Formats: sequence, C-alpha cells, structure tokens
Amino acid sequence: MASGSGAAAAAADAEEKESGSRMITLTSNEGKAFVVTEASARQSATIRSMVDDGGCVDKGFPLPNVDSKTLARVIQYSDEHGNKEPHTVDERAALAKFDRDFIAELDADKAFLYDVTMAANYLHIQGLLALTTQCVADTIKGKTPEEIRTAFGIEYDLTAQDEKEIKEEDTHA
Amino acid sequence: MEEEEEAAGFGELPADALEEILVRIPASARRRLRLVCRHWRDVVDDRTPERRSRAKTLVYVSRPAGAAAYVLDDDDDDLGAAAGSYGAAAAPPPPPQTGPDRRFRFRMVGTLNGLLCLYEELAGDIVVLNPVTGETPLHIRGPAGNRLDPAALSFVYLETTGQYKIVHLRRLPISLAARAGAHRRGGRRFMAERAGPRRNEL
Repeated sequence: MASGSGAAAAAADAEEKESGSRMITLTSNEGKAFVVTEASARQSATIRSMVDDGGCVDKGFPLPNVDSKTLARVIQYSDEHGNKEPHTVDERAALAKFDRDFIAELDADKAFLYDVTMAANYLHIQGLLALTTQCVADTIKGKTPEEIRTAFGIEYDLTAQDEKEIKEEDTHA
Repeated sequence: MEEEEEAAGFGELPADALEEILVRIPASARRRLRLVCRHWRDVVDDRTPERRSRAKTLVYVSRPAGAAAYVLDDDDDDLGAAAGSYGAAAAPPPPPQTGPDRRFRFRMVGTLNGLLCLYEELAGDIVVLNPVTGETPLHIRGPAGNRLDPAALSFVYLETTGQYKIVHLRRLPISLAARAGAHRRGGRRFMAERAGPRRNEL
C-alpha cells in the first residue's frame, strides 16, 4: 500500500475497525506517514507485539530509526508478503520472483542494503532480514577480508598487532 | 544524501544483524572474517563460539593388518601427556575376512578439518571419513582397472565455498606451478568433488 496523507489514514482507520482490515500508520523519522494494512504491519514482530498488547493503533507508530526512503522500501516488502497469501505454485513463484528482484536492487546499492538491513533488524521482519543478510553473506563468500572491506566500505581499524594475533590464533586453532 | 559515507555502516552493524549474516557462512570461512575489522572480529568471537575449541590432534596409524585413526582429546599440546588419553577411535571400513587375498592397503591422501581422506590401493576406493562419528560422507568406488597414482591424489578444502575436493593430477609434472594450479583449477582436473558437509567440529 502506498503512502498516504495522515487525514486519509484516519478516515480509513475509522471505517475499518475490524481486525485484519484495520489500517496502521507508520511514521518515518522525517515525520512522513505511511498507511499500511494491519496484515502488512504485522510482518514486523516489533509492531505485531505492540498491536497485540493493545497499543496505540489509532495514534500510529513513530519509527525514529527509519528514514522515509528506507521505510517505503520495507513497506514494499511487507505489503507483498503480508497482504498476499500465496496458495498456488504460480503465486509462490511470483513471490519468489518479487524477492529476487527486490534484493537485486538492494544488492546494487550497498548503502541502501545496509539501511534496509538495519530497519529489518530493528522492526524484526524476519523474512526481510533473512533476505538481506543472505545477500550480504553471498557477497562475502569467496572474498578476501580486504575485498570485503572494499565491497561494504568498511574502515580497516585492526592494528598490526591485532592482525598478528588473529593469524596466530587461526593457525593454532 | 551522503550515501558514500553511510556505506561505512556495515563495519558497525549491530551484533544481532551481523550474527544473522555469519550463520549463513560456513563456519570455517567465518574465521577469516575476523580480519575485516575489530567489530567483526569481536562478533565472530562472541557469537560463533563453536569454532573456539582448540583443534584436536588426529593420529593415523597404518599397519599391514589395517589402519586406525585416533583423536587425542586432550587440549594439551604435549603429546606425551595426551597420548594416554585418546578417546574416540574409529577404524576405516573394517577389512572383511573373506579370504587371504582380500587385503586392504590404505594410503592417507590427506586430512582436513578432522576428516580423513583415504585411498585403498587394491580396490582403488576413495573414502572420506570422520573418525569421530564413524561417518563416511563420501565413498567413491574404485574405477576398475583404472589405477590411480596415490602420490597424485590430494584432498583440498576450498575455504571460501566450504567445499571439499579430491584432486587427481593425471600426469604429474613435478613443478611448483603445477601444484599451485591444481588448487586453483581443480575444477578441471578433479575426479570427484562433493559439496562439503559443514563439518567444523570434532
């Protein structure tokens, strides 16, 4: 479900109090509101537990750790997985294709991949976290530590002494 | 935005998320990730402790009557102290006593991560064996009449992919270049390969 204005969200929310068809507002750290179905929001274990604890569904959920661009992408995933329940082989294949395309885009933009991984971790969206971390793991495989640092823009902060110790431990263990 | 700078984030990925990545990588390849940066080193140390146990000494004994492998379960490096306390011992497939001619002559091809690779010279079988569990994750029947040169066999572990390979050089030009090539281009020369059992612990 695409983002909408807060007013539209409130209206939709008032109309649909039935569980399962409720709408939930998620707000990015830039104050942008995203209205999603409850089924979509429940992809996040963090939000799911807040909703089940009788939390502030009407007020919506501010997400101070997630920016708008990242939240939009996360919602794209949780809409696809939360709003649809694949029954047929074709539907499952379509969902798998969605995942492949979804991660291929992130794979090409490691900074964004990082943001989405952080959001999936923070929101506890297990399927999305599995998708992004598998992508990182696939990138790591077959690379030297230096190539890994380059691929992910990681700063080298080991001292020569650290490195020596690590290598000694590994030849020993 | 400032995405160039934010990309440095993977170096500070929260331990939980980094652990999710680490569990998707073969345990033996994880060790090398400790060389990426301090944070990764610490998370590998803290969150993947199964590799922290010290390697155990594996002793392989070949005798005319058969062969045996022993794992010394004492962490002490001093062999004298450890030798008396070996625990699990498992012989390679026991020689069935069918007749006086049916003997087994095992040659050690190599050991990796606690796995033994043995070549049985008479039948030409190649066996990969875990002496602790007694499992044989790989058993290749010898090619009848196609004798392998035991000296040309080697047992290789590809750390980055977690695969084991048994490499046989058909002709063996004794030069360093050829040996190095066997590792790099093993795919073209191998006679058997198998996805590694992610066996990292004895």
